[in-house]
Amino acid sequence: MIRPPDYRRRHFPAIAAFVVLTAVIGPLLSTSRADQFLVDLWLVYSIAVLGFYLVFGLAGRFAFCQTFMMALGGYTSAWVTRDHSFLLGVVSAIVVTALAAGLVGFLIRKAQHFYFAMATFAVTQIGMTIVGQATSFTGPNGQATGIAPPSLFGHVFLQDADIFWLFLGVLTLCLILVAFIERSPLRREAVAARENGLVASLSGVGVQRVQLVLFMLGSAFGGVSGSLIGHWQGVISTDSFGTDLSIGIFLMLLLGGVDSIWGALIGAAVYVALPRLLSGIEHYSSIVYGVLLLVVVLAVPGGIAAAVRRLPRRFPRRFSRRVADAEG
Amino acid sequence: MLKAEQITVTFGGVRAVSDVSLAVPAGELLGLVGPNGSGKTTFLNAVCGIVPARGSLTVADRPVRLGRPNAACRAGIARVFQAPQTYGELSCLDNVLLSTSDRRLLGLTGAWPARPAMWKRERARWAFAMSALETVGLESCALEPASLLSYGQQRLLELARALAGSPSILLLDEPSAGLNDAETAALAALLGAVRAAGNTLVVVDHKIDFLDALCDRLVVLELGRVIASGPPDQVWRDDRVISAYLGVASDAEH
Ligand SMILES: Nc1ncnc2c1ncn2[C@@H]1O[C@H](COP(=O)(O)OP(=O)(O)O)[C@@H](O)[C@H]1O
Ligand SMILES: [Mg+2]
Repeated sequence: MIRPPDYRRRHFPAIAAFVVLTAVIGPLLSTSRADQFLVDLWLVYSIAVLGFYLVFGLAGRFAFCQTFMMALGGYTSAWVTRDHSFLLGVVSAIVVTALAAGLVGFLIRKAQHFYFAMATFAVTQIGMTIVGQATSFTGPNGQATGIAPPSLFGHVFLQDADIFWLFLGVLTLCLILVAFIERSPLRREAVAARENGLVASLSGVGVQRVQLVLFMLGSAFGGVSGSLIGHWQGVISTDSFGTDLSIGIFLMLLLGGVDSIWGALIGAAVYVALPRLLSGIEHYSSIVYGVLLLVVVLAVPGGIAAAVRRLPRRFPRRFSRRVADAEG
Repeated sequence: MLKAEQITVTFGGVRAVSDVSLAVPAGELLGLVGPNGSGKTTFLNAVCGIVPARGSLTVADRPVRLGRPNAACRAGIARVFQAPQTYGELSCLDNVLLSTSDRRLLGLTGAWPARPAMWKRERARWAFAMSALETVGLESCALEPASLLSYGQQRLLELARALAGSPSILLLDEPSAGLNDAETAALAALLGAVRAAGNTLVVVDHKIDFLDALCDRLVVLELGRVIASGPPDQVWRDDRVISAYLGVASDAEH
């Protein structure tokens, strides 16, 4: 039986390797409190960028509202956990962000490219303002404080070193869910809808439905990420999810690579590590991001993940086959 | 099978297709010809719902809403474009799989909770898509990205995708364009076989020998109107057809 290439890739061994590697290296990297913070931040941003991968990388919809979804998820979870459990808070964040994205995505289902980006940007602006004003929902000045720390099955995650395992667990779950999509007919339908919607719909693909589903799902990933950030930090404000982060999310995926699930993780790592590596010249960090982006656009159009994928071609065959099998 | 009545398409005041009516009985291979710019492509576009059009359309006596590609697809209309419309980054097999007529468990339900059922359906879809690739002779390229195919192969891939949807009627726009004589002969044999398998086809083409050998009936368009229709030898003796083609005789040869 001939299987399509997407079903031949070894997503799950690659995810297992990633998890083991991170479980070993993560704690080693976290020698100081500041470094532990950055490693945790990388994991939790990776979840949001993985969601953006679904929306933009896979479905080709440039949604500028991923940070709004993070904020909405964060505030929803903070509000729900005033009286209820952490788990219920995260689930509410997922439901509310998916529904919000469903509503927005349905209203602008016909908007293409630039118009979709503009509309989602507008949603972010309006949404953030409303959230900032709805003080009974968020808190004084749109700031939610005293958010309960994550707790599961009686275990409360207080230390950043503890949080690391929670975030790694959630990220792994998200990776598995995305890998299931990569190994399903939804992937080919999304690629077809993205590349040529008219021809796809003539083949029977429900273009708008596919794009809406992936937008809702990717936004829910953003909601999970925002919710986790809130419970981890104990406090969130509209500044936690400002325009810098909006552009940051886009930058992470572009740097890492838009066409594989690993791009999101690589890009988030670079984005989070860069200020640390540049300590001393932080003032120039926006220049460094800009230069990096130019390098990616001009030299490695597929992002770092694609550059890594191309690397084995320069090596002897046996090695290259092993690498090609290992990567997703 | 297909019945189009008074199809009219206007582009900002220009009537590219005006009041074209045609009926294609099941199992027929109809040739659609006419000078360049006579509205052949636009007519096909109207039938598959990718340009807004007025008029009425039925497939197997069921009305089809105009201007909706999805409605055209559901009605069993499939299309092969003049410039091949394939997905370069997807494998040939995936390209064909897109048009599967078994459209269940293609979304999140199949990807997550109903994976075993999805796999079962996918296996059947793969086998069916492979048989469509075999029909056009592309089975050896099944796993290669479509971007690696030649122009002629991409057209065959599109034909395989159209066939894999088990359409009621297949529309082909200049399938022989850009092919050499040997490839054109192979295509003619392939279309003959597709038709012999019970399919209904409408073929637009400029190569007259190619069409005459294949078609039962020709319909001639000029300036968006039907000017003649009938068996090929009779149509080519029609005075209006001769005068329509005289001015553009050179166009008609390629
Ligand atoms: N998208 C469009 N916008 C404006 N005019 C068009 C468009 N498509 C086709 N036309 C016009 O419609 C007429 C018929 O074109 P077409 O259907 O491509 O002819 P054919 O396929 O017979 O060569 C031409 O005059 C062409 O310029
Ligand atoms: Mg044409």
